Amino acid sequence: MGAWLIYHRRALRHALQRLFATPLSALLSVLVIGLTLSLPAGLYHLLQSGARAIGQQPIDPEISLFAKLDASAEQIAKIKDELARSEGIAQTRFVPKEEAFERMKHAMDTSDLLEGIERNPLPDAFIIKADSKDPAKLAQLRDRLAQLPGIEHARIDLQWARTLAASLRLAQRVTLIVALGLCAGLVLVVGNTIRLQLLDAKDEIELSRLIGAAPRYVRRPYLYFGALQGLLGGALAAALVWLALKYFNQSAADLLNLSQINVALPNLSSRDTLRLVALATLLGWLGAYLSVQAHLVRRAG
Amino acid sequence: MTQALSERLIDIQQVGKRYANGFEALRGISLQINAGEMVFLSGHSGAGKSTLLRCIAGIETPTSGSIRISGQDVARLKPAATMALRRSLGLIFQDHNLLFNRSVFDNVALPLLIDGYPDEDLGRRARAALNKVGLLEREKQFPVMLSGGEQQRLCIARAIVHRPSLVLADEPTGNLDEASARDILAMFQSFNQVGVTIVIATHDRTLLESKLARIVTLDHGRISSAAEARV
Repeated sequence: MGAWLIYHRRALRHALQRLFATPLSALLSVLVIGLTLSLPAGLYHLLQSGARAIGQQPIDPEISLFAKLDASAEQIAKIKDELARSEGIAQTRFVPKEEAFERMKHAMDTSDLLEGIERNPLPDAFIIKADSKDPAKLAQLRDRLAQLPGIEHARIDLQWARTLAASLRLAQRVTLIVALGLCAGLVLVVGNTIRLQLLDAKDEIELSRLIGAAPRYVRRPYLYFGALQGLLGGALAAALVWLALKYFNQSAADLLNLSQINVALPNLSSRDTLRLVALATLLGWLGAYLSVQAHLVRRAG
Repeated sequence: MTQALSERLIDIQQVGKRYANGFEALRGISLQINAGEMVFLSGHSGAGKSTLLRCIAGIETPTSGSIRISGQDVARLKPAATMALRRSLGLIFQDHNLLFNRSVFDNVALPLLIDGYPDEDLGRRARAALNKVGLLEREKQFPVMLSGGEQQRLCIARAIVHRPSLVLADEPTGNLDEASARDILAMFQSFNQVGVTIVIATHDRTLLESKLARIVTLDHGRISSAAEARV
């Protein structure tokens, strides 16, 4: 245990000495790691938060039925009866065209513009809440209701929410694949830094091996170095993501609010930060491990 | 000393070494070395002296025969055990293998670092080894500032710093003048007198004519003659 601690303490000291011996090179590597990780990490976090926010919205699927513009009061009454008898409908609300027109005036706040219109251009409408939230059943119900006499058009509302959620999922997957590629790139970046150090210390490593140094003795300081670079790069990435999210969150929330989703997107939590830093440390360690292992195998060969 | 001499430390049986290019460096070498003995392996360049030393140290593997150190077959050791064996030996290489970007002290301390000695022991032992070879006052200098003889003494200090019971030295007086060679020989003698087994590969007349050790002569990978030490 004593010797184990001594080995690790010395390896860490050695790694820190190397880090401070070439501060510019170390800084550049940390910057590369930080910047490379921050982009996918930030994007992924934003998309995940967005998807979560959409998922938390009380999305009750509704079907909007728009009557024909020239539908008579008699036809509207028949539609009401039909809807009352129809299966699969939980609730129906009739929106007369006058009410819709008033709402539009109010919402648009452009009464002057609308005053020029001689005739109400809006149809009578029915807002229907279905029993089921199953998309297939909803589509079936919509198609059936669209066939009713006097109905011009039937539409499932909140389709946009599903489209948005699906788009976010797709974007998440794309981000994940990009992140995997960038992580592999980071492993190579760290591996290359370590490779240059190994070339620099070639004679020392060879001598150490000749006089009995185990591979883990040779590997240890480089693993610490790689992990340290990863740790610092990860911390930088977390700081960049935090700042960027703080800056962009309001814009993203505004965008979602336009889609009637009232959310505030959270910034990186301490757990997210730890995960990001741990991932970067692991990648740094992995890059160093692969590089030293390749060097040892090459030299042994 | 007498008791130490009776114990067989190295037992080499019918060792052969053929390289991938077909060159046969060793052919059926059989040799026994007792604990506390000093042996010179002599012979012209390419006779197989260095190869035999490297095989004893587990740096190279014989293609036939066996080498046992304290009863352990070196070629059959697992990698970790081979490394442990090398750590237990004092190795002096033909081309010095000094680290020129490290101080004299750091060069000597390397085996202790590999062995995981605590800092205080490490400093004490490294300085004791430097003191033995007369380089204590040069501990902060770099090897490039040392003469050839001093560099060789530094290699010896590195080889004995962890107090091994067996030292394998490959041409330790190569390129040294006669006086320096005698100094080095005297150092080996002093280690041998305290029970350290020493095997030296050399073609240096100064060492061989001293007749202070058993001389085993190799020729084209075979033992051609053996002469006992003049005690």
